[in-house]
Amino acid sequence: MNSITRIFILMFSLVAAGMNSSCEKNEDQNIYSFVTLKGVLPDGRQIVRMEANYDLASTFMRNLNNRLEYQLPIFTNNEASMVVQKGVYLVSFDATATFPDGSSARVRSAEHVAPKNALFLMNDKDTVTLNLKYLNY
Amino acid sequence: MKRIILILDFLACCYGLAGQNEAADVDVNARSEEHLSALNLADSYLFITSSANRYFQFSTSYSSLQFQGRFRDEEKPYAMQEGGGAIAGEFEVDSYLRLPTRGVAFAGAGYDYENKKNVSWNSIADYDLLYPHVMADSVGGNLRCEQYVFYGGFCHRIGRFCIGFSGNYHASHQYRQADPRPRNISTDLKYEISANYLFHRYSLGLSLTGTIYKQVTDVAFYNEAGANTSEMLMTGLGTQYGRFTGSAYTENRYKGRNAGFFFSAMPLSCHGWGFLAGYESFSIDRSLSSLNEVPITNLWIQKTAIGLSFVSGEERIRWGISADLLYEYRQGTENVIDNGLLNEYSILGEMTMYDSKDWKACLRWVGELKKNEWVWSLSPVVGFRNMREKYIYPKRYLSYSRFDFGVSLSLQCAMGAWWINACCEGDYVFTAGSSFGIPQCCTTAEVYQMLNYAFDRATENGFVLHPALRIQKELSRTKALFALFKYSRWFNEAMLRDSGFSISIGLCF
Repeated sequence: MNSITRIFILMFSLVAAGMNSSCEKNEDQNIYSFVTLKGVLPDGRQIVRMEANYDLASTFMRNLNNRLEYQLPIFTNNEASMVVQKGVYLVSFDATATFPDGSSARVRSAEHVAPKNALFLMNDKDTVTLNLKYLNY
Repeated sequence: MKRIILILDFLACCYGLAGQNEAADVDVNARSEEHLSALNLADSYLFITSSANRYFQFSTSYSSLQFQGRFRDEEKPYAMQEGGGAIAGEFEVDSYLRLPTRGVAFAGAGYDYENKKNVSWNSIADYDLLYPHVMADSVGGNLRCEQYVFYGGFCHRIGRFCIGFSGNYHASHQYRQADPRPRNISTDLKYEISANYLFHRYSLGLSLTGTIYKQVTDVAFYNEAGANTSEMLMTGLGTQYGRFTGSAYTENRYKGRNAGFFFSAMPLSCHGWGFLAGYESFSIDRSLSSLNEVPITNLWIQKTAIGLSFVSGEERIRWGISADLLYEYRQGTENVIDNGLLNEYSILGEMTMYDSKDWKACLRWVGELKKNEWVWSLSPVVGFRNMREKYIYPKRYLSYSRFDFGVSLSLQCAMGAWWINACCEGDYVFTAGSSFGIPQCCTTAEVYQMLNYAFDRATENGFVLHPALRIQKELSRTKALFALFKYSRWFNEAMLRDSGFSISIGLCF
């Protein structure tokens, strides 16, 4: 094999070996946000447990852009955590809140149901305060 | 009328330039033999991306013009986005001229009109370029397409240097006259400059390329009852930009820019080693015209290409071998748009959600045997393709690996004023492995069915046959009339009837 042949084969092999190293956009991106939801009643009452009522079509947590929906977690001691894709969200739900004395009440969160009041969850960690209203108190 | 005048003017220029052909002592049939030789397959990749290299491509000038009719029919569409059939007519002019002043000029023009049958899941032009950021609906219909292309270039040798430049302009117009009514206008301007240095028996070259791409697309609904479907702004593997899906945001604009470089080495004579390595980067933004041109997605396509070839120098038996490797990396990024308060749609951030890696490799050997007025050529080819697509969340993936084994046999015969070129190529394609991971839970039924169908057709095993026949008769030493017939037939396991043919009649000089 003459030297010209060796040079060409070497060039081909070297470039072929390096072909997989294309640039990657947003290589270290984190597309998820760890969100802490805090439910607050008008009288500041402590909520031991609160679960959203999914029998109603008005209960949702929806990404405004890609329309993906998430199941709201159960609140314990006024708080719940979930991981969602970063984005702009609409949140609306009716739920049953249980208090330390064992009583319960139906509550509603409708503060972020319209796009003008949408939640911007764009950080790696976000905390959202949901102002709840009593429905039958 | 203006189009016809423009093309006839160009034709007259080509014909006039042909009259100044310095190689008029080589008859047109012999020049056809050089320009249409099967051996050109071995090193054709060297001339696509560098106009300076074209100085060494052919030793004679050659021009042709042809009218072509094409017909394609598929019992079930191979790609729904291209329709289940088409009827097309084309006019094409191409010219390669060796000038007396150590230069080469090349130019061409074409007009193509095509009526595609039952195009669905594609409401834009240039689907292969813009995938997966396309606009789509499940209804579709017949689609009419007109395309124009003009290209030209020049290269000149000055001592040990050879410099060249070229430009290519392509415009297309697509429309449908029944709901949903897409109307797409796309333009594509490519430009390239290159320079070679002649070193020993080789020419070392560098070429720089660029492209400016634009497309305006709109889908209208004329039915008084309203839209009969939703237009989906697809973002990859069945996902959509749901917020703007529907019939209200169907005016999209695509704007793209491409830049690339290629390094090449090729022999000064028509035999020896050839080498090419290059990289291109193409970024295309999609924006919504009705919302202050807010860009919703960006598609970044990176291509790397490498080729190596060797062509032997014997007279009677010539052979060539080539190997090429192409890698395309496509990334789809989606912008997070805010709530649109006061009609200002700001971008809060971006996320790269889709990517695909497409590897293609091809190894080809071409052998040509000349015996009196007969030229036989045989060309076996082995190809491999690995395609992998994924979408991050909700997680989706799709991949397959395919091999193809083919062989092409051709025969050329020069008998007096007649020149005949007959060839037949057969390829067997099979899928070595595949995986399909699209969750049905978060995909609409019609989209899932579309993806499933497309995957089945892209991974089916089959055999394709391409016979072709060219009959050419000299009208004079410098001009010849030709007719070219091509047929293709795909035989797959389901024995679907997929075929196509084309008939061309033209003049070469």
